[in-house]
Amino acid sequence: VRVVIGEDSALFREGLVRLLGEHGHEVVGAVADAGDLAAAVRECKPDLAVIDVRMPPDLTDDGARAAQALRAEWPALPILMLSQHVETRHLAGLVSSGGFGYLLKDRVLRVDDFLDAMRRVAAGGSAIDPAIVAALLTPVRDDDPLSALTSREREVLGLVAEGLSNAAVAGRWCWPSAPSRRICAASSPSSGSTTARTPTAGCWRC
Amino acid sequence: VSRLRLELRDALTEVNASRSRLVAAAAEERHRLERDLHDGAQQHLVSIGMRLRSVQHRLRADLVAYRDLDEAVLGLEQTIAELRRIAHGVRPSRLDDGVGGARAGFGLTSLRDRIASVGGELTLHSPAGAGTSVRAEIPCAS
Repeated sequence: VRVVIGEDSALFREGLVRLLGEHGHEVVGAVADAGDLAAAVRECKPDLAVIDVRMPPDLTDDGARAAQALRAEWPALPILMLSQHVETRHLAGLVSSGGFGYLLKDRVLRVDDFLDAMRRVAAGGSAIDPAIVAALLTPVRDDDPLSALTSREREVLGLVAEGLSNAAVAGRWCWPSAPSRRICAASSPSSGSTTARTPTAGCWRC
Repeated sequence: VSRLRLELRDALTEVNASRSRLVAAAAEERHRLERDLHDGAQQHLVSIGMRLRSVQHRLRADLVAYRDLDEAVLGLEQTIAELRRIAHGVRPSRLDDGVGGARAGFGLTSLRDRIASVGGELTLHSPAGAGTSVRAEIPCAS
């Protein structure tokens, strides 16, 4: 996978370049300022952009805003956001379109899981951090529709929301994939179909 | 009397303003601490972990050192999670199975002060043996 990185911490950026290089990926561009991302993408034509949420110039959510601008200009470019902490407000708008991931930065330390997630996003799928999914799947009111799910259903919905395939979800319990498809359907109040998957918890909650 | 009333009103306005400033300063300080933890310590720990993973990648998986590095990185991950928890505090998701009997100590008093600083009011309902509810009413600008 050819990657453009947007990350202002030199230590983290270099670590990521090394990690990806060691596993057969190619970092074709790396910028430290959100304002330079579009130019890097235009020039390097990557398969994936990996972007830190908080970057210069403002050190707030510049990376997330740059990601939205990239999505508007190159709708097919997969984007993987990295964040230092759990937050869900940047998900809306990006998450429902596929080819999008949002992970906590320290997930890079689980190298295999991280590379899996990266490949999934690069292939047009999604990868949402388990901690962020958990925050989205916690019922906030007594009459929250999430309260109606059994704990197993909620667990399955969480894995689907992280971006795992039916087969991967089934693999967690050594099921054939049919029951997980059934539970996915049961876990999605907005969808009665057995084939339509709820793409992400974020999308479903919004 | 009207002059006294005016003076009293001015004094109260001043008290409210200074309370707002104190609350704003505390919030800013907390925000700065959170940012320092995220951008400083946490980011450094992740970078060290990536370094260790890079070393590990060059080792054969059946070596003892390979497993040792797994453990070292796991320790780092736990430390990062702990830092994240400290930076954000723990948010309770449910109230209905509490023990009640809460009294206004430092925490609730400072909450009450913050609400009061924007002209609002905080009420506490906490019968012993049942849940605790805290209600904050803040007037909107209109």
